[in-house]
Amino acid sequence: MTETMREPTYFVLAALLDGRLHGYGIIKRAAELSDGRVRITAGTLYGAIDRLIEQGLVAPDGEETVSGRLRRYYRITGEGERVVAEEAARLRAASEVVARRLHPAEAS
Amino acid sequence: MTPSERIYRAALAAYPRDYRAARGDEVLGTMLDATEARRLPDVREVGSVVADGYRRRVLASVTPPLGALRAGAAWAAFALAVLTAAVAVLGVMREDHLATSLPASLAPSLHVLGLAISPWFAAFAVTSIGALVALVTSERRAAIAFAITGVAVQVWEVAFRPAAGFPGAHGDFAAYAWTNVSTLPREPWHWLVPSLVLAACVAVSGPRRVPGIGLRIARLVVSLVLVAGLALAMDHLYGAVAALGIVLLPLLAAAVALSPLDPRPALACVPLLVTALPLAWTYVHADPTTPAAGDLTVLAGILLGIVAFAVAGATSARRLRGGTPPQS
Repeated sequence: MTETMREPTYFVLAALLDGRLHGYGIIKRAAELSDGRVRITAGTLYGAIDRLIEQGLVAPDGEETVSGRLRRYYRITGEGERVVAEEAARLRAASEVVARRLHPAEAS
Repeated sequence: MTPSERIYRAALAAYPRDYRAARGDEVLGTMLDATEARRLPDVREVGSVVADGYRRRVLASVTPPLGALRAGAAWAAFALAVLTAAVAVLGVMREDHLATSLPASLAPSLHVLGLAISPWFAAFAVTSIGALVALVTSERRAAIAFAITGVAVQVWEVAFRPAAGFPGAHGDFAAYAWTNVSTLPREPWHWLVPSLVLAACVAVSGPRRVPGIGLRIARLVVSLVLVAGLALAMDHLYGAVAALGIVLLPLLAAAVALSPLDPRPALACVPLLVTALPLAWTYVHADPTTPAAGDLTVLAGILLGIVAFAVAGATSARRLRGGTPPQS
């Protein structure tokens, strides 16, 4: 991952940290984790999921049909956990740069 | 089926057929789950699916490496084929002009359906329209063959048929199409450039999937109407018809472009349209006593349009490619 991770992708990975989820489950979990700020649409979700599968960060994990609707489940891989942890560390370091300057006493 | 589901299903048509077959039900289920509480369909969901489908279609038609370059080349080839075919058609249409102004070696000597046609113009028309037809029906090898034949015809005519009675001219038939509409020097060699570039563009353009017969016929009909419209516009460069034709050109190109096979030119047409609008304005308000400025403007506009085709095709393909490989 040489490029900065986009926010929906970050929250898709974050949502899957708690266990496998289907498409709508990921959307719901991402909204919860971001206090409703990140609203992932279906087109964005499946674009991100396919990229993540290709990069080996997410893997399909079974499917079922509920009320006539097909649900395919996805899980995060070990590599996915490592990448999202790295991204979280990068974001934390970036936020500390600002925090140290705005509130020097608290940050130190 | 609820109205929302009907609209969501229609939006899924934006995806390539293979992807829709594999994942369509899953995407639809997610859209319905995500908007269950709503009475009306969610515009954001529809928009995101259409955008994702568009992106995947672009991916399916761009082949790495140099995918963006080849995508741009494919559409520059299309624009050039339209232009050269339009010039050829213009030459055939203007048999009255040819009969009175061409040197003996290029004068019309064939009579087909009551039209007096120069063999050179006929050869030019056959090769350039052949290249166009081959392009829109995805017959890449035939397109290259036609383009190279067109270059050979032009080289032969330019090299071996000096135009007696036209000082400074060397019998270049394409240049005569411009005799009454351009004050540019009748330099014969400049018309070799589009044909050479056409051949090169076809040669390096990316392979495209062969569409169904219905789509091929539709694209062919629209392309030929496009050629006729452009030829007509060039033949009436000082009137409103020119303005109409030049504006219609990108619109018709957009119609070809909107074919579900390859959506890149839809984006490529945007700068072409932007280019054409001020041109049309120039013609509507042109001073008929100073045609040279107008001719130069239209020439520059057409060339700019072709460049815009190539650049926009290439950049849109590269931008939309994102990180995912093609799925062809």
